[in-house]
Amino acid sequence: MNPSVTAGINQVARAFPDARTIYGEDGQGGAFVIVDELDLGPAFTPRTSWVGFAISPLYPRADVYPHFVRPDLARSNGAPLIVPLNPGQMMPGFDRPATMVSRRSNRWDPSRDTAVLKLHRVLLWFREQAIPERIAA
Amino acid sequence: MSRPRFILPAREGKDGEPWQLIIRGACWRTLIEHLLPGDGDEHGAIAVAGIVRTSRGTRLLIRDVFLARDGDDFVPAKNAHRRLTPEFVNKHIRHCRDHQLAYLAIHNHGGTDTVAFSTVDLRSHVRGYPALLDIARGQPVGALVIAGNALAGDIWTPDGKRQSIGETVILERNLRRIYPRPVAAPPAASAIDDRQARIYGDAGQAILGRLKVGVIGAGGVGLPIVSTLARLGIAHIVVIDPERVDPTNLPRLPEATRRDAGLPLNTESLPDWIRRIGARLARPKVRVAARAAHRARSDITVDAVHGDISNQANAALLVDCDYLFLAADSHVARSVFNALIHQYLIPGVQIGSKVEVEPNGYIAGIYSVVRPVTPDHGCLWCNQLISPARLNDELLPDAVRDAQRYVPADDAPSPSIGTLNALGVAQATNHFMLAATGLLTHSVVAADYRRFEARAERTITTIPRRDPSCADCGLTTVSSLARGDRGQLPTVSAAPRRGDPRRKMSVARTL
Repeated sequence: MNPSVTAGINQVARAFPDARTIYGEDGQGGAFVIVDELDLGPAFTPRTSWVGFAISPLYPRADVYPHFVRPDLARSNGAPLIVPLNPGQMMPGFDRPATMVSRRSNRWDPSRDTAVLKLHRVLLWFREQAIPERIAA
Repeated sequence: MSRPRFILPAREGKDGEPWQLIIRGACWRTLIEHLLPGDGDEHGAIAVAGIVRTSRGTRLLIRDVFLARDGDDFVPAKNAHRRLTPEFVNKHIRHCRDHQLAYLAIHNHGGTDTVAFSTVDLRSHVRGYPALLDIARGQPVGALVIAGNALAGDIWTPDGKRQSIGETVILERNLRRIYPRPVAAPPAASAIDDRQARIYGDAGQAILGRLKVGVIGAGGVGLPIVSTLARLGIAHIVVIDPERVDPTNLPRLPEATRRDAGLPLNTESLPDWIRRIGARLARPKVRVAARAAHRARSDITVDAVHGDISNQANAALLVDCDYLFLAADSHVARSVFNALIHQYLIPGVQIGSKVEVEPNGYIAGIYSVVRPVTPDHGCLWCNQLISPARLNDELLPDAVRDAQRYVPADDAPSPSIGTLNALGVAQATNHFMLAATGLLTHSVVAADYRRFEARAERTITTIPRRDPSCADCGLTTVSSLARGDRGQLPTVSAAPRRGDPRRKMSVARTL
């Protein structure tokens, strides 16, 4: 595994000490990672899920996306899942049924961005989905 | 200033071949302005350098220079004319130890085309360098002495050997070469090369005749580049491409035959199973390129690598090249090319052509681009010509990539035409030939990006941007600039398995 990929996984594990970080090598220097389990916020049910992603052998030059969460994820208000959520996918490497979360970083900067920062941004996106509902209420 | 006495000659080749020194143009200009301001006095500096060791020899790659302030860091000495202070040396030798870089103390002598260490210089090396080697913990230490147009070196390695610097290559707009003393005139160029040698002389032909050049991509741009380089008299070409010739390539591959493309079996009108046999019989593009090169020069060495540049082993074949051509359009190829240029201080040029067609068939643009890239100028990362998202996508197996798309991809091949490719090939190979033989004008100003708008028949020049925090060309602690063998190229440890339904994972581990 490339040293930068190893460093990226270790950062993820340190950032989420209460969750289990599971990883496997992809045979090319990259890795598949699952963090189990994390809070997605009140806009989704079930509210918690594992979050998986692949770290490319070209990390940190390559973006870390898409992410994957549990396959039975639904919106708390009953609305259908829409882009960037895409149900009916498989989490690569682990071959788990999953809902894909496609949050591409158009301004990814290899000198600053990391797998753990990206995971935080994805979780923030999930948690921010609750805000419009609260405003409406 | 007292004149140095050249009693003991600098050693050359005593413990092996002399090393080569590669220095960025920006570092060279900084050094020369400081060392040779025209006051006739002696001045000092320290350089830190990466190392690359290959079968072609060892190169020192200057990453950065630190100027010694006269009177503070560079002071009068009892046993020598001037010396660097212990504090200045200590600060930089520890930096070298911590960042695994070679340490080089630099000063100047008078003169122009010949330079050597004085007896006093060499005695000071004997007194001081064993201790510096201990502090540097495995990194070479040494000295460079510079005159106006000459450079000599005395490098001490941890195994107890001393190496000289035989040739220094300065990566300015022209690729300038200087030596400790004037080199012997080369033999006259052969009769075959007579007409082109009349442009750059026997010396220029001799330079071309000992270069190793890498070409990434052997398609409509890469293949004519290989052929042109062979005709220029390049000694050694490494060409890398994973594809075989397809019948649709034939109009853009002047050297390829119908048989190279697997015809007549590889024809759409035939049953699939016959066509598959034809496709398997088609020749790898790199073998067509090698054949073209050997037709031009029977004595040329061509390493034809039928594989992907993203593969670590393939990219490693390019680390001791003198120049690189990027004639492949993937972002992974751009990323590896850009990393090679900055990590190993190899100048290069990217060539591309594009025809933009809108969905209604309107042709929005037809252009070719030529982007010279040196470690100082033209970084593809800084100019947003490498997409982190595309890097991720391009390594995914096709099935996974397709599954991750919301809308089906438009897999129709993009328009391409040989006449447009020829523009880029001509501009890039001319740029290389003139830079390598020192004939480009405005020798200090770096080359900018050029885009030829074919329909308007005009060339647009843009000045590339530079981001000081760039991981390739910046000088941050994490940047790979001039790190040579100590850096890590953005490659994969095994060839991408594009046909696999999904990548296979090893046993899962839990942290």
